[in-house]
Amino acid sequence: MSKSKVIRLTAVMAASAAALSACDRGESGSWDAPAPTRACVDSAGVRVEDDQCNGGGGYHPRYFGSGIRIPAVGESVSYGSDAPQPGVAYTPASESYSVARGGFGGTAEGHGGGGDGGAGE
Amino acid sequence: MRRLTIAPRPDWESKVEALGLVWHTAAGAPYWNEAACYRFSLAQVEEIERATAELYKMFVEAGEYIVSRRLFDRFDIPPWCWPLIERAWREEPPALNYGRFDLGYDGSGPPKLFEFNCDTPTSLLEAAVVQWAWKTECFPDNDQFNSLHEKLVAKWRDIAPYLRGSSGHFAHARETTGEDAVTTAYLIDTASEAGIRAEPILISDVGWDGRRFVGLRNEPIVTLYKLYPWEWLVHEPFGCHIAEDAGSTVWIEPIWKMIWSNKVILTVLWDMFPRHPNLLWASCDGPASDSYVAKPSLGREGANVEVVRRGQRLAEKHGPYDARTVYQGLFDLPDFDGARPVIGSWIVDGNPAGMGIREDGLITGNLSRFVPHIID
Repeated sequence: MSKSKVIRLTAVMAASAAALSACDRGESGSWDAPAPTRACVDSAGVRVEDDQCNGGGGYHPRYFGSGIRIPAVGESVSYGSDAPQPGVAYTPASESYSVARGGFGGTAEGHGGGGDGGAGE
Repeated sequence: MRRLTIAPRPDWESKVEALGLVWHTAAGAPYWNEAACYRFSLAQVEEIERATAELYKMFVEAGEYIVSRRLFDRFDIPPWCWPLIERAWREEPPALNYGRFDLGYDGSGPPKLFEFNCDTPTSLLEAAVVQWAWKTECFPDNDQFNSLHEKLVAKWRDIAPYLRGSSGHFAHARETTGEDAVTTAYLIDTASEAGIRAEPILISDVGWDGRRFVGLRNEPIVTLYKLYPWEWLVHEPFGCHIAEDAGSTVWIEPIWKMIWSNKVILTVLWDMFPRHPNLLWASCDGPASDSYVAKPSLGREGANVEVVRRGQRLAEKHGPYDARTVYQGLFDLPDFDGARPVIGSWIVDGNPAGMGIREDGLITGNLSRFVPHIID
């Protein structure tokens, strides 16, 4: 924009503001697996980032079936299996997200759209 | 400034439809009304143009004043949005930065600001394209205050290099009139003309995959043009994800438009520029005289507006908005046999870009007629 002038581009906003988000981290950090999913947990059963399982050190995969809640990183998990089901392909947790829709648009239903052609005078 | 009664083109419906304005009739009456037109002198148009540029400068100053003092409470903006607004204001992510100043003007005194529709303005296709085609056919020797299409395309071209993949999703709400769909389709046309690949999507179809916003094929949304107000977005279930969006979606318009599009800014402007000739007094604390307009800070389409003169309520439009009330001085709109025009003066990134006129009674709403104009 040129609040005065010419466009000056930027790193766009995002990550650092996440801590101030109104989202409940517990809700947004976990999800229901849309397909069989493989996560990584430590020896205490706490989920860690997937790549931790590449280097041993007590980290090991935990396998979840479709529709099972995948815990957020840092969350303890007592369910799932330490062994995969034969013949089942598992998606890494870091690539497995279910997509939710309908989280925008609800207000418009009572207001007849989002545009504004009126002047209020 | 005169209002002329003229004969509409016999086939006007098909002509405006061919330009995309399928929403030309509302509630059984023409919304696009070419049975009349407004005629301005060049000096009058130049005055509107000057006022538009001047108002924009004042909005920039007011925005800086509000952001630097973190006056977001006055605007009823949720605290989690504050750092996003501050960052966007400072860093200036890509934006069309367009908007429509709604002005009261009687042809003689200075234009007076009613409000600035700069988050989700409509009546855009009518102003940019349809009235120009009408003028070209009906008044080929006259001019028109209108460079809106060219300025929008030029602005898209400016920001295209900063939009990843030079692409964007264009969203609007599902609604029955087609007005939002028409406006969004027109914005898609302007973006496409600038080389941006545009994909339409309903705002309710925007997905969240746990990390970022996605489209219907679960593709990341890297740029989202939305004809959908910020104050609705941030209060809806996905609103909280805006702050944690790892996809760093570029929002057009940016979130700082929550300040400019909120009518509380009228009170800030009046405090900063008291008695400025292009402003009407405004306050959130109550009317300063017995003649005023009361309007919600976050209302749209003239809803929940009340017009009072000398203590008598002259007009009132009910609606669903219950936001903070802003009181504004009453401007006597010129009366052409009951038709009272409001000037919608467009601006694109600080440059006045044309105007569209809507006429009705004392309150202009989404069914108020659009009437084209010419310059002598």
